[in-house]
Amino acid sequence: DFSTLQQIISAQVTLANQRLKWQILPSQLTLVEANKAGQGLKYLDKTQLTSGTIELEGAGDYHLGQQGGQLALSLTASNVSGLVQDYVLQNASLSVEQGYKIERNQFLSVKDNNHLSIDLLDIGVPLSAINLDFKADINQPEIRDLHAFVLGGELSVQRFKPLALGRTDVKVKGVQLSGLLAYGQLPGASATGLIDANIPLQKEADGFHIYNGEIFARAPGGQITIPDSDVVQNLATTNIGVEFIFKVLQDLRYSDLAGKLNYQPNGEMGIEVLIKGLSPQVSKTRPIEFNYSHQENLIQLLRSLRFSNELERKIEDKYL
Amino acid sequence: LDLQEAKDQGLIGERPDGMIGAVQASPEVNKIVTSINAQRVDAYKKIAAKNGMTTDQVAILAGEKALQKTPSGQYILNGSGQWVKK
Amino acid sequence: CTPRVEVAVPDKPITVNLNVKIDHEIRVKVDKDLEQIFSDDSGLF
Repeated sequence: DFSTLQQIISAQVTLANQRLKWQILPSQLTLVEANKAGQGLKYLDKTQLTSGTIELEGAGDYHLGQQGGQLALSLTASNVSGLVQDYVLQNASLSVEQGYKIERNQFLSVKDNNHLSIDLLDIGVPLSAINLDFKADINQPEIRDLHAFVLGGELSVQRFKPLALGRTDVKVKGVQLSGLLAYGQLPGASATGLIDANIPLQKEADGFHIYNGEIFARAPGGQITIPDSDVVQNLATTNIGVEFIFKVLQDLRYSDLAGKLNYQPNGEMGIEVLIKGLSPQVSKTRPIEFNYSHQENLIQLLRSLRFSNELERKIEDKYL
Repeated sequence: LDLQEAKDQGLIGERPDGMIGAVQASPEVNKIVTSINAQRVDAYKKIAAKNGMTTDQVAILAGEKALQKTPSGQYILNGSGQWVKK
Repeated sequence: CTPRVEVAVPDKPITVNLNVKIDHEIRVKVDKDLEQIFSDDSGLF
């Protein structure tokens, strides 16, 4: 029910010679109660916030005769943590500054500065130190600047209009190959080397596509080491001729790694990379050209990672 | 003595490889372990065939589920090969 | 002796192809099948 929310937000309204003035008295709201109060709301139903406060301020006036006026609103949320659906959120803070001029009952935005920062958002892959500068225009929201750390590297996007059709370039810098390899869950596997990527995110009528995103390892490359194990043996028995491939992968020192990434709105993702290097125990002289192709549904992957992260938390909580 | 009683008395426990093991061996306990494990392998084989996987892969997933669903107080084999009460 | 020009023939690369397809659907289906085994009335758990 909304009653708990209403009691907290109070406003002063005065009307004098056709001029309506109002002010929202600065008020603070702890999110945990608001979250419970808002349980019925569509987006809040699977959200369990464990901490967070919201401060709200606003003022405005409106001249009935001239049908004009102005409006200013500011909202700050801080220390917001908890679960938003099945995404773990830690220490998020939001500041919203909105200003409107009203002319002939038309709202004209004169101030639209909004910033969101999040220490950690676990979407399956942990995104940390997220900073997001955005325009909160309802019909055309825009991410002016997004920056986050992921898998030891950095992700950045500028001027991204999520609702608009068209292309936005996502830059990925210095992601650790070891971080990516870890998702293969191959016992004892390790890798060195940093990956950069230029990902052209294309919004089309049916959703987001990526056509030929570029992936490449930074010079001087690195090393991939996947020791033999029962998991590797399992993979070897189910695919003919894979034993030799895993012999190469036991010690592959690569100088070049470059390839393409493609993605469709349903989550299907395809990665093709060519890895060039040497595998000493296979041949001291003949270079290796390793064509690796990987197909996976990214949406399902992230969902199953969130699920197993949740399982880990449950197991850890049990033994705390 | 059946599997449930043996588990409750801490004689048998669940292992990460989807099999059960004798926490305190005895002829009677070993009989249960061998019979149950044989039936489990058959079940894993059928599931593997149905989903294009190897029996071992199904067994590993089964182990995950077995450890998770084992009620507290019963025994499970931990990462370093010791029987511990959940 | 006559100088001998030795052209080092670059070693022919060893080409290796590995295609990996991860299907998360299987995990869901297998999960359902396993649920039966680890349910109370299966006698196997």
